[in-house]
Amino acid sequence: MEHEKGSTLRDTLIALPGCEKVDMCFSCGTCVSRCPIQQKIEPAYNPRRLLKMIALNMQADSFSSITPYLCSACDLCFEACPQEIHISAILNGVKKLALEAGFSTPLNIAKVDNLTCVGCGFCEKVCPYQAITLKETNVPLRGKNLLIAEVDSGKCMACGACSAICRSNSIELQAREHSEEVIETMWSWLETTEMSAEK
Amino acid sequence: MAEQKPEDELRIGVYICHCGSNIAGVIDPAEVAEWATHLPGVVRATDTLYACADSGQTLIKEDIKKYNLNRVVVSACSVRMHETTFRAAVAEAGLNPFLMEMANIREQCTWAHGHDKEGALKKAKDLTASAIAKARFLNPLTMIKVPVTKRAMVIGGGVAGISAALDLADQGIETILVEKEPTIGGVMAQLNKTFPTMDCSI
Amino acid sequence: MVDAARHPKIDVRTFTNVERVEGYVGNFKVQLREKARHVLADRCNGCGECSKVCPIEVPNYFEMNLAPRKAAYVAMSQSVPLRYTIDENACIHCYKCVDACGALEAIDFSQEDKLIWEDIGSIVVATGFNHFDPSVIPEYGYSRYPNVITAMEMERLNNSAGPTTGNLIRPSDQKNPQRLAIINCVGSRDKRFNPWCSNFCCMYAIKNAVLLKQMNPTLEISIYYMDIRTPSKGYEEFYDRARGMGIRFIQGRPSLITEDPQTKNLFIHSEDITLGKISELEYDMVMLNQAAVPQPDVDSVSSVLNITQSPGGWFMEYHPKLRPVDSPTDGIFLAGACQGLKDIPSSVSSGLATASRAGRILHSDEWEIEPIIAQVWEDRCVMADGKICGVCARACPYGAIIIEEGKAASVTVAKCHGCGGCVAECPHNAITQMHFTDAQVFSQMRALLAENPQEKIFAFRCHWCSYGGADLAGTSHFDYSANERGIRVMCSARMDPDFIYEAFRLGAGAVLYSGCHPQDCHYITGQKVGATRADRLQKLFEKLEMTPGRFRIEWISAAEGDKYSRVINEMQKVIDAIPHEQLMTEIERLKPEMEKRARRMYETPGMDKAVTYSDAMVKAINTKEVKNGA
Repeated sequence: MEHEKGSTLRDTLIALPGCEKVDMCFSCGTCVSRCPIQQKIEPAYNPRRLLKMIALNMQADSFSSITPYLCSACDLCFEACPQEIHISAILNGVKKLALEAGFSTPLNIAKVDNLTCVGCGFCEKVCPYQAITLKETNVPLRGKNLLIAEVDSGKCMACGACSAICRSNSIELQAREHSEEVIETMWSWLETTEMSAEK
Repeated sequence: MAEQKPEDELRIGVYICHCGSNIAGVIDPAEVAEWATHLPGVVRATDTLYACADSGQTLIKEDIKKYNLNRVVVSACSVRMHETTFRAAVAEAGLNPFLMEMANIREQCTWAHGHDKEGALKKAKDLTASAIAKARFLNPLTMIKVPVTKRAMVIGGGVAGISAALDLADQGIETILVEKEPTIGGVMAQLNKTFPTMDCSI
Repeated sequence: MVDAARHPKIDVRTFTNVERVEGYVGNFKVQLREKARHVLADRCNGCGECSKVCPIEVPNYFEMNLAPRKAAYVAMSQSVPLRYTIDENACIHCYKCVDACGALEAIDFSQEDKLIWEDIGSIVVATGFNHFDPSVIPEYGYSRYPNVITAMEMERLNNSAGPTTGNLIRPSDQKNPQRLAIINCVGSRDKRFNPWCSNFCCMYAIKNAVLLKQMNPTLEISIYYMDIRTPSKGYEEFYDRARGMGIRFIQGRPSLITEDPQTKNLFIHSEDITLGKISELEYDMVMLNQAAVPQPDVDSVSSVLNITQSPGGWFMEYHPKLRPVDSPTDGIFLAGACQGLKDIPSSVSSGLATASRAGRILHSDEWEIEPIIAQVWEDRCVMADGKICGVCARACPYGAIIIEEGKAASVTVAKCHGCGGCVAECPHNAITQMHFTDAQVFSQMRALLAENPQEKIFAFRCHWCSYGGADLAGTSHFDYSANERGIRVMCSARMDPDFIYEAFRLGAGAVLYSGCHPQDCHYITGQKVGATRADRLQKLFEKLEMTPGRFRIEWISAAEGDKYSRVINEMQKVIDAIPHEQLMTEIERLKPEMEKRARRMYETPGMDKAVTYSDAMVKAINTKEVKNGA
């Protein structure tokens, strides 16, 4: 554990939209116990602890934490947070800063093969995180330029939806182990909770 | 009629309070005092560490006699804080208490403009000048005396209201205790034991 | 309780509301509404025969609706006074109670609400607090899960005088629970509901845990908490005692309660933050330690008594440290939780403190009030010339101005509260206010706008609210533009249109017209007089094509320091957005109009001297600045 001086992380982060309330966390743990990811996917995932690390300007620890990359922005924690902290926005902010600082995502994110991609755009439509956009190349095709898919490494959550839908097998994505089982567990967990029953 | 001020020469004393570092940490009270000496009617202007302290009040009282002051301006805190203090002080020195005027250079200046020391200094000067200007036209007034009905009313019959009513009544004051519910007792009557001594609530 | 009822000097009026409060320190007039009990208080002996025969049962509020009461009822057996009440809304008029009462003849169905006026010297407000309803928090399932109960329900369930005579049972199956959880801060320290700490709940949770553990040592009790706050004497020791009894303290705020539909047992999901581990533990029963909130009728009480509210709905004290039990109105004091949440020892202390503060007044034969009243210049009043006017009398909230044909208006000193509304309203400038004369305010304005007036934000603030709001902005160190220059008058009603014209004539960059919110006004309807006038001025400035925002109306309470600071900063932005040349042209263009409109002020007595003095003052300020700048 380190305590860095110069208060860069907290100051930079607090200026990002949605991250204004990062100091307000009083470590009650509501977000962690509310989170489906912590319980079913990754026990090391802990937004409460990340917020504490930000407050203490533990930059290296924050940037190498897996927490920012796993958040799916479901915002169950935001609804339950007594301090009204938009936790997913803060996690997203940390992720952005980490990537800018040269840290790479620990997730196996989607990679597009530029040589085989035909630019059909199915992947763009199915991506739940708006991580894929079609980019124009200078290769002419039927009077226009060829489009190919591009992945925003900051947004991709490595869910594999794009890879499954791709008709030219141009997206390589080694999904996390037991991902289907995990997704199934998540669904059944969600169904047993009160909140989903109400919805 | 309203305009009954003494027509003798105007002699205003001005006191700029440091309030420790509350004011002096942002502006220089001595500079404001020096500046105030140039304003019309001011015969004495000085800074003081704590105007409200005994020493500050003594200074004002002695100056009233020494300089024959007939108006006093105190640039310090809010009138909600110390107006009564300074009115009493000038009254002790034989001046009508309504011939004292305050300028609020703490709550409404140095505390609110810590980020802008130059602006705060200008404002402190202006507020002091404004108080001096008002002081010029102050009239001696006497407090109005009103009769007192010796009865109290306590609204709410919970533990706080009952305590207040009993104490007033024990002082011999006739007290009406008003409660909107059919019984007094409030929340306290609904409790089992009470902490930390675990005694009965009723 | 019983002491209060027995005390010869205390007159207990239960089932009674306060309708109106008039007057001033030492001389209040309070109107009470004695609600119809349909029972004659002097005849009822509290025997309860009426209740026994009454066929109607409704939930008893006193038992948190966990037990019934009759339509002819006392809330509890120790009621003070022990007088029955017949609930109008529940009664079916079978009159069995009348027969049961028999020769006592204490029941009277013809009884109606009575309005009574009382003369009072000083008032203590002790209206208390209310309990937060946790059913609005969906994740805790209160009102959906039978075995999730509130703290107050627990209080009745473990009370020997309660509906179960102190036997703690689960509502779902009437069995004694073996595993009980208490959740703290339910609706408190939660910005979605109430941001404040409710003060006594930590101790309250510990008290209930200790009590229940003493009654049933095998009961497992866990308290979920964020922080345990035990700041008073003996409290930390009490917390120690609870830990020593084996009560479990789990740090971490539960995020969800789920229920087993068969057993009706409950699962609490939380992160134990000391271990950093998720826990999902099973309990038979859960007590929600709910927040304390202001009374639902707090708004109407504040407007009847003219007391301002702090954020959240607690009554505002005159000064948080130095005068914590005084309301801003002389002679009205605040006791107990209505001023801010207090536990029993603190409530008693504040109650006793108010008795001492009120005693100062009530033991005096006379009380002094500030002589800042209105006075009429008889030679300027047109009524004296036989003309019809009376504007001043209409503006007065207290009926203190007497109008008679052919005579100048006159002010009744004892009735005048010194708001200054009549002074500003008088179309002939025939009234002045002591200590806030036109000459005084004019000289202040000249001094404040002596240099670079176009840069200044000139703020008129009422003494009770907006001046307090500006104070709070400073106390809280909410920085705002140092170009603000303020003048204090007693009420927005005193903010004479002449002052506003004069401020713009002198070239002020912007002018703020600020006072209290309508319900907070210290002078009943003074704010309304001020607000109507401000709206009129706003329309005029629009017509004159003044840049929008240079004249601004804002109602800012003494509790709204943040708002004061924000408003001033916004006005600074308005000035900054106007190019200098354009602003100067606009000021010059409006000057003749402003001068024409403010002209009558110059005719009032004393103004000639004010002009001469102010000229000298402005000259002194400006020459001195040159010297400093050199």
